[in-house]
Amino acid sequence: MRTPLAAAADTRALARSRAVAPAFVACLVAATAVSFVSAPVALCVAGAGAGYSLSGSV
Amino acid sequence: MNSALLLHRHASPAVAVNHLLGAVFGAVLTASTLLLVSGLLTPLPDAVAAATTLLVVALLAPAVFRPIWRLPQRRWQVPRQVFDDRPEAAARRFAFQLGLGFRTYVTSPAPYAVATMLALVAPHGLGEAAIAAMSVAVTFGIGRSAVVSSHALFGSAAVDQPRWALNAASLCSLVAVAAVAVDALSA
Repeated sequence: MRTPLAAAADTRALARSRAVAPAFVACLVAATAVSFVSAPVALCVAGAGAGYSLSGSV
Repeated sequence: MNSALLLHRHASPAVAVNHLLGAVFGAVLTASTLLLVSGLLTPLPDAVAAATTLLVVALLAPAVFRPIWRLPQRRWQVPRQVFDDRPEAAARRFAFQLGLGFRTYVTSPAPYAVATMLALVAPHGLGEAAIAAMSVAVTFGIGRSAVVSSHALFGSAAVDQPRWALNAASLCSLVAVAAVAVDALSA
């Protein structure tokens, strides 16, 4: 049987996992706004966005 | 069992680093090949190359929300045997295949737009083109590895990424590709 402490740790781990997507997308959106004035940033956003967009598959 | 879950069972900073390195190396290999292709396409006028890239972005954008095009892809999964290796080596080999970007399922239109961009609107100088291709490759690898590496690094639970986040990332990538094409068009 799981202890309350272990259950709380699992809840925190799940919360950390679910925070990855909004954090990553927020950074991407902010960088995309800069893309039209900075070509190097645009290249990085293009790469990172394409890479992350495949994270739904293995 | 999901491959990400197999890696998650051995979550550690070493697994995270190896996964990241594997994805980046795979992406660098693909970007280097596209760099060679871009060299062959140099005779194409800049305006034509930029306009073609913008057209590709426009055609791919609706596919972010539903698969209206049957885009060419291998529809292949990395075999489970990869995970018979040590966790660090398994993570590196597994991520290398993912980082290549074309070996497994391609569930987003964004990689096609990025490949078109690298082939058609890369800067003309070899040094500049190489830096551009490597920037795209390294960030592609980071993006491809972000979920599994962050789970392995922080020991957090493996969860599916929400569809809205994947779609938003695809759109950001397409907008950025369009920005590079517009920059090439106005240069």
